[in-house]
Amino acid sequence: MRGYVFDLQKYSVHDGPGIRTLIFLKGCPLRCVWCCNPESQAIDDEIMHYPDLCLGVDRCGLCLGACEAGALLPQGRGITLSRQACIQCGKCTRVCHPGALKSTRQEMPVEDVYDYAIQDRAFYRRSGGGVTLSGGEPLYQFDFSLALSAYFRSKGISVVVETTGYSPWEKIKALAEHADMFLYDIKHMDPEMHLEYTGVGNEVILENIIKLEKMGVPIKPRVPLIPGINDDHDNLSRTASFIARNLHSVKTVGLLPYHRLGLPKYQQLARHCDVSMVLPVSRSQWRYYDRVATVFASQGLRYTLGS
Amino acid sequence: MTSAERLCLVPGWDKSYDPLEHDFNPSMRIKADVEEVLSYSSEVDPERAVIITQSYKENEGEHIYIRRAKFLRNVLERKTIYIKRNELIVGNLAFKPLASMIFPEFSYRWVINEMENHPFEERDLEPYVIPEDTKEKLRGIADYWVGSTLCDRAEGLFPEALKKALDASVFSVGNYLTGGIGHYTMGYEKAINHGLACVRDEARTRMSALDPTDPDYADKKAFYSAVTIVVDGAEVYASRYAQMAEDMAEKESDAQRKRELLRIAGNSRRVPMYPARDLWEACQAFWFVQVIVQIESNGHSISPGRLDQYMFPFYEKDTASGNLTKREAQEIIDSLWVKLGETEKIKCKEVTRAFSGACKSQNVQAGGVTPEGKDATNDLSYIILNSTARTKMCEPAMSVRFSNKSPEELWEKAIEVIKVGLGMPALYNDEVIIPALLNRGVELEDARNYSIVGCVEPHVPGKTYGWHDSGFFNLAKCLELALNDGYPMDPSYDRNLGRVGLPTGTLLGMGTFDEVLKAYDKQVKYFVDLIILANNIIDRTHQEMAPVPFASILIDPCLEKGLDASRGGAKYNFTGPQGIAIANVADSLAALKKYVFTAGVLSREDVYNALLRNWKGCEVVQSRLSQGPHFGNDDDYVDELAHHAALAYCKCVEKKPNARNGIFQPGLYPVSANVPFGESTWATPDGREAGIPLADGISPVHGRDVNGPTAVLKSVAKVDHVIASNGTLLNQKFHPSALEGIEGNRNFMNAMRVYFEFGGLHNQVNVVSADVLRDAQKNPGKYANLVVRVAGYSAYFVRLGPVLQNDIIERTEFLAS
Repeated sequence: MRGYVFDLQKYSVHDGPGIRTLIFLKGCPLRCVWCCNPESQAIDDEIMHYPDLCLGVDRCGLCLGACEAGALLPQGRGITLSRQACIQCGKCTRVCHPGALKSTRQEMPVEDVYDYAIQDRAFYRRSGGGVTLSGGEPLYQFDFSLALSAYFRSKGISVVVETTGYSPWEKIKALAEHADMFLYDIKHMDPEMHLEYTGVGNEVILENIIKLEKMGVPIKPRVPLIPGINDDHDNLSRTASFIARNLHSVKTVGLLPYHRLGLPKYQQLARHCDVSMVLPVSRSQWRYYDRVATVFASQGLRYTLGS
Repeated sequence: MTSAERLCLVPGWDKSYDPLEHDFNPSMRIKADVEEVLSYSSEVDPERAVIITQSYKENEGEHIYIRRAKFLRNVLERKTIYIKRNELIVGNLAFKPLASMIFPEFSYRWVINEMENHPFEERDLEPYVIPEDTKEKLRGIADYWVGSTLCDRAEGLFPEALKKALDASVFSVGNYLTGGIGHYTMGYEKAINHGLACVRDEARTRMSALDPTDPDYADKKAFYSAVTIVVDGAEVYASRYAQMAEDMAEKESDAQRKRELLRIAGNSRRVPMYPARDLWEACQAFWFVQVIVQIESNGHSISPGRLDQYMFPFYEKDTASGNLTKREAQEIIDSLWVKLGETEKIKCKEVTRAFSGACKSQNVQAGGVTPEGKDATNDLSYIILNSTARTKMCEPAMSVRFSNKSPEELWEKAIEVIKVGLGMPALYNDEVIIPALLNRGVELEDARNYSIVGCVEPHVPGKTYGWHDSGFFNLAKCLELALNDGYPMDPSYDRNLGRVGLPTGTLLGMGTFDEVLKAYDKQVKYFVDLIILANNIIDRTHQEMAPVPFASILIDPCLEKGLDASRGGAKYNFTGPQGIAIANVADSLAALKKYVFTAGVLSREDVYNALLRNWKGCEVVQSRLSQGPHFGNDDDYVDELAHHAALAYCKCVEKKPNARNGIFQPGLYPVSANVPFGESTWATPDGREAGIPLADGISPVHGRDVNGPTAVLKSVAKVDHVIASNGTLLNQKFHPSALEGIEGNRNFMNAMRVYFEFGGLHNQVNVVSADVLRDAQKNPGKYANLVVRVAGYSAYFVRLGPVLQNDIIERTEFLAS
C-alpha cells in the first residue's frame, strides 16, 4: 500500500502526548482560509519555488532542460514557473540540487514511512509518544491512513489522528479502531460561517465527533483561534457548550492561537492567501486568552494553549 | 550563639524557602552586587606583572620552585585588595572586577605587540581598557621578558615539520604556549576541612624527614620550602582582608553591614589557615584558595567541581542547628557566584579566537553519583543551580551530572535553568563518563567522583594534572591534505615550501573510496604524532619554567612525593588534544563515496577541479555534493563515516605516553577553534566554501540537520564517546516553543535520557532568547537549523522573512517572561 506524504517531522511535541513523529498526508476536502499548510490541500503534486535558493541559469539551468511542458522560462538570472503550463511531472525538481524547485508530494509505501518513524522508537517509549497522522486530512487518503495506523499499532506504536472530521462516518469508525486518540478540530459552530471559511458545512463534522465519542475513543477537540472569524464570544461559548453537552468524556480542549507562519508557502505556490491581513494575537495579550479560557472553564472544561 | 544574636543575612525572609522551587529572583544585595561588577570594563591589570619581574630579578639564582613560591608570596603581600559594598565572600584576583592580570613569564611578545600595534581597546573580540600608566609599567618590564619566556623557549625547540604543520593550521597548541596549564579541580576539601596551616606543618615534617642520599633530595627540599612559602603568602593575604574588613566595620554606619563586615573579618582570620566551621567560612576558604591558585598561574578552567558535595556537610550542620536558614545558604552561594563571575582572563588575539569568551571556565557540577555509587543529589545541588539562574553571569560554568539514579526533580531544575537562556547548565552522562575514565586506568571510586573542568573534560578532583586543553586538531585539514598529495589546496600556497603532510597522491589518482579513507587515516596519524611531539616539548618547558607549588598542595599525592604537579606529582597525568570538524569530514567522505565512487554521477576530475577553484564556476558540482546524506540525520550511511573519522583520530592519540609518566587521551570539542580553523581550511567536498567555519564539536554542520533534534541525538550518539575520554561536545539550539510548560520539560528530559542511554556524553542546550533571534535575523548562517515548532507546523526561523520573524521574536519574549 502506497500513499502521498508531503512531510515527515520528528520531535513533534504539540500534537498528541509525548515525543511524536508527524506524518503529514497530502489532500484535504477543506479549504480553510487560514490554512498554514496550503501545500497539503491538493492531492496532486504542486511545485514549490524558492527563488533565493536558485543557482541562476547562467551557472546551472538544468531545470530548463528537464522541463518537457514548457512551464519554465528564464527570468533575470533565475527562472519563472508557469502554473498553467506545469503538468506536475516533477522532473525539474529531480535535477534541482539546491532545492529551489521542490515537489510537495512524495509517494511512499507504508513500510518506508514506518522505517523512518521507527528510528525514534526509543524516544516514543521513554515519553509515551508515537506517530500522529496529520495533513491535509488523513481520511482523505483513507486506505493509506488505515494501513499506516494498523501497521504502526501492530508494531506497538501509538497512533494519534489529527482530523477535520469531514468524512463519511464509516471511514472514521474504521480508522478509530486502529487509533489511540483523535485530535479533532471544531472550527466553527455556525454551518454558514463554516461553509464560508472552510468550504464545507459543519453538520457531518459535529455528528461524527458525537459518534466517535460514543465509541469510547479518547478525543481532544481543538479550536484554532482565528481573530475576527471564530474567536467571538458567541461562537466560543457555543463550542464549549456543545462539547460539554455532547462529549462527556472530554475534559480538555486544545486552543491553537492563530499564526501566519504559513504565509511564505502561499508565495512559493504562487497562491493568494485570503487572511494575509489577519494579525495574530500576541500571547502577551493575556486578557484575550483569559477571556477565551473563561468561556471553556465556565463549562467545566480545561484547556491547553498551543497543543 | 542564640537566635537573638544570630546575624540575619536576608532579613524578613521566611524559613519555608524551598530550593526545589524555581525562585530565580535574587535579593537586592545580590542584584546590586552583580550590577556593580558589570559596571566595570575589562581592563589590563599590570600589578602582578610588575611584582613578578621584581621578584624574579631578586631571586635569579634560586631553584625554580623557590622563585615561583616567592613571587607568589610577594604578589599576595602587595597586590591591591578590595571589599565590595554588597559582598559576603571576599578576595579578589585582579585590581578591579573584570580586570585581567598579565602573566609575562609565559609569553610577553604579544602583550607588547598588541599594545603598540593593535590596541587592546579596538579588538573585535574581547576588547580591554589599558590606561597609559599601565602601558608604561608594561613597557618597563619588556626587556626582561621578551625572548626569555616559556613560549620563546618551547618554540625554539620545535622542529621544522612541526612548524610547517602549525603554519598550515593542521593543529594549534597556542593555549599552553601563551599561558598556564590550569584545567584542574583541586582537593578543596583539604583546605576547607583541615586548613593550610596543617599543610605547612606536613611540609615541614616531610622536609625534615628527607633522606639526604635520595638523588632527588635537593628538588624535594626546594619543593617543601616552596610549599611553606606559598602558605605563608596565603596567610598574609587572608589577614589583609581581615584587617580591611575590621577597618571598614569601624567606619560603617549601617548596623547590618557592620556586623557582616565583622563576620567577614572573623572568617578571614580563620580560613584558609584553619578548618572551616560553617558554610560561610567554608565558602570563604574555597574562594581564597581559588583566587590564589589563579594568581599563581593563569591557567584557564580551574574548576570548583563538585561544590554541592564538599560543601554539603557544612550546609547540613548549619541548617539543622539553625545557624543558617536555607534561604541564607542560598544567599551565601549567590554571593560566591558573583565572586566567580568577577574574574576574567586576557588572552592574545589568536588564542582569543579559539577560546572566545573572556570567562575563565570555572566549571561547577551538581548531582551525579557518590564515590560509592549512590545518587549524590542534595539540597545544595538545587541551590547552586538556582544561583546560576539568579546571578545570570557567564561564570561559573554550570553543569549537571546525571546518572540512571538521578531524581526527576534534578532534571526539572536543570531544564528550568536552561530555559533562562544562559546556555547553562550543560548536561553530563555518568553512565558514559565513568566507564570512559575506567578505560584510562582510573580507579572506580575516583571515576565515580569525577568533576568536569573547563568546557567538557572529565577529571578526578584533587588527584589529576590533566592538561585537558593541550591543542586543537583540524581533521578537515587532514582530509584536504589527503586529497592533495600532502599540499594545502589554497592556490596561493607556495609549493617551494614543500609538503605539509605525507605524499598520499591526489583525489585524481584514487580509484576506490577505500583509498580516500586510507589517505585520510595516514595524514591523521602523521599529524597526531606531531601534535604529541609539540605537547611534550611544551610540557617539559612548563616543568622547567613554571611549576605550580600552590596548586600542588591540593593535588595528591604531590605533597607526599615532594614532587610538583607540573612534573608528574599527581596520581593521574593526562594530556588531551581535541579533534575538530568530524561532521565536515563525515559529510565530505559521504559525498565522495556516494556521488563519485558509488553512483558515479560526478567524476574525480569534476570534484577535484571544483575544489581547487573553491567552487567558482562549478556551483552545480557544489550543490550536488551538498545534497547529503549529512551527519546529524540518523542516517547510518554518513554516521558510520563520522564514527570512522573520529575513531581514526582517537585511536592514534590514546595511550601515547606523555612527559609526566601519564598518557594522552583524545577529546572531541572545539571551544571556538572551529572558526579560525575554518578560515584556514580550503573548500571541502561537503560543499563548504573555503574560509567558512567548521562544525563545532560533534555537532552536525550548521543547517545540515534537517530531521529534528532526535535525529541529531541519535547520529551523535553513534560516535564513540567512551574512547573520547577528554570530553565530547554537542551544541543544540532549541526555540522555547519546543520546551513550553511541564509537557515541554518532560519531552525534553526524555529526549536527553534516550541520548544518554545511547551513549552520548554531553549536551549543551541553548534555549534561544529573543535577543539571540534578533542576532539570527542579522546572521542567518549561524542559526540555519533553528526550528520554530507549533502545533501541526514547524519552520526554519531564518527562512521566515522579517515580518514573521518578528512574530516569533515577540512570542519568544512572551515565553521567557
